[in-house]
Amino acid sequence: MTNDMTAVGSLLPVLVFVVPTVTGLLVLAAGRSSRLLREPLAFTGLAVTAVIAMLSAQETLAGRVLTGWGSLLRMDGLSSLMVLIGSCMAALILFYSLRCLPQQMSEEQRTPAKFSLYYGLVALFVGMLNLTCAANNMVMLYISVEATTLATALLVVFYWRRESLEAGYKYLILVAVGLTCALFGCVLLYAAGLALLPGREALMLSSLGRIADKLPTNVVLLAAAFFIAGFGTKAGLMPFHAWLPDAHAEAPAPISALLSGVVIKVGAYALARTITVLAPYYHPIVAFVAILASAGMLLGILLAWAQDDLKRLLAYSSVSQMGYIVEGLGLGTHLGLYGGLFHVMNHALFKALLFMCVGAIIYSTGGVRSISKLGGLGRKMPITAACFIIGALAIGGVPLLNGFMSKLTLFLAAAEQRLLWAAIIGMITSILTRFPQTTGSLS
Amino acid sequence: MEKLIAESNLVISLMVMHLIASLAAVELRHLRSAIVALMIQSALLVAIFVVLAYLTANASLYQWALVSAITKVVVIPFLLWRYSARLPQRELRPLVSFPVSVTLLGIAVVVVYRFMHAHVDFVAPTPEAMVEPVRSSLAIAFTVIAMGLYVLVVRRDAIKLIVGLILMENGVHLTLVGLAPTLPETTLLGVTTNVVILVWLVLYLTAGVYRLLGTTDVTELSRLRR
Repeated sequence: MTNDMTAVGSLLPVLVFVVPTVTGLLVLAAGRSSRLLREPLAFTGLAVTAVIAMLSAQETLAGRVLTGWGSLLRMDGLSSLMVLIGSCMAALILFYSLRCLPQQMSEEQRTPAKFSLYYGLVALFVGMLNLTCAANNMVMLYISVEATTLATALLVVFYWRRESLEAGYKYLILVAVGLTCALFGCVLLYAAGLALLPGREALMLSSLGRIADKLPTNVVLLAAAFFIAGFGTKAGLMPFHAWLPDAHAEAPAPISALLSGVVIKVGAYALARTITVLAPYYHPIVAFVAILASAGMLLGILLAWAQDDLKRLLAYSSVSQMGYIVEGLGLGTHLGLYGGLFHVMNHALFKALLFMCVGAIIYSTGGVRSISKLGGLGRKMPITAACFIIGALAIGGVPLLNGFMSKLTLFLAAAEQRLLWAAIIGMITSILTRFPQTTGSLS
Repeated sequence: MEKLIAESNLVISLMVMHLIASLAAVELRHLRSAIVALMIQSALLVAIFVVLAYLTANASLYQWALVSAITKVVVIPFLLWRYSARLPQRELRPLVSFPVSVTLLGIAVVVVYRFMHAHVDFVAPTPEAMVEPVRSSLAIAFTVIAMGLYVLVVRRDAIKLIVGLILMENGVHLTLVGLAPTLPETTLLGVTTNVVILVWLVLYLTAGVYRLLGTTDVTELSRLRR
């Protein structure tokens, strides 16, 4: 895919994950002794990471591919985009947490240890996310995706209530089982690649891409199925989404924004890395992904309609929106990838905005999340309501807003691949998406 | 390779013992006995790694064996043992009764093993995978993965679910060693560290759930939500 670009050795792929990881570990280890070593340190670390992400984006935009640690780490345009979205969103979410987080905690929970756990884990998560994006080794990709799950599990159960414990338990078990399947897919692909590539080259995604058309079809299809089930679980792709609504609803509001904006995108990224290497040569993968993705978008939004809890509504809409993203990535064409990745960025922006608005509503109403009890909110909280409506219109794909452009690209990409039915389901879903969100905000 | 083929009986007997230990870990209803069975299962896995390393003169497999011995035979059983002290010792009644479960599992094991042994070329079309004992090892590895999945589907006890998860992981690691025995050390450490942290986190949450709800029944968890 990126053979024509020039690979340059650089320190950026190393720094981009080492800085937040070290920050996270420092905050976890020393955060309880001084306030300075908690919020300020974590925020500084993530701000520096965001700057490094911007620098690497600048490099990759100039057409260079950054490699580090031999060829273990490799950052191209796709990696830079994800690193940039993840690092910037996490820094913003950390800033938002400062006031939002303590309010929902009980008196005895507000200890320095608890806060250092929170800020440390968020920074550690960003480190693992960036490692995922910089990893070129397939098994390393699996390891770091799993590590992002482990880093966020304790954030989901942060309030330590019955519901959040259940949600966290479900999240851990389901995603772990899914990712074990993904590891199995890696093993199968690696073994098949070994016949054609020397030793460790067969683990490198960049090398596998070059020989993807020569691999045995059985193995590729089986590995692709395991990748879709495994990384699809992480991405909240239907029917592997069972953990997602609970985890999104029961996590603290800033973590819901992080989960929907960034964490599930890790799964989408891993799918993009593995499936897009294979999809161009194996058409059944494209059709399979398109069916799953279309079913996901439609069922996701229908389930969202049935929710009274504002956070669950947004969570199901995430399931639906991930359908759009995965469909674009699964098409494997230029337009499909462009649309899918554009939608990754847009969804991160507007879904995080929506979850933060809900966080603000919970903050000022003392914990009310039920839509039926939130009448007349527009008058009491005009700014929040205005932001929510902008986010809701964007997610519904209203023209002039970002969601419109990425969805339009995705419909065109599906039509171009003669998947007209998928384009039509996408459009119907998009029209349906306008209603629940908007009524939610205007009630 | 010749040495490996000559000693294929040794490898296959270890594999069969590994499979029997897996069955015990699945079916024993006393949780601590199941944990011991799991530990024996992992120890046999390590023994298989060592034998394969010796027979194929593959030094990187010794590293696999060492890391697996520390994590799978010592750390994970220790964590399970310690956390299970605070939990009920008897497994919660599974969704299927003991005789039905053993029969089902027995049939499943035979079917999966026979099928995978006959069709190894479907998942691993390499000449190395076709010869014994690699062929049988792969078939047994797939069977262990299937057993792990079975536990995750029919069991309600949180500790048993962890046992199922570890069985799956062990099976995948065995396939990894069978199909591609040259993994770099960094990835090897990463894979095993992840499993240890995962098990610890799940146990930590299980203990939390038990303190708050007084149960380790995972079907209860989804019922309480609605």
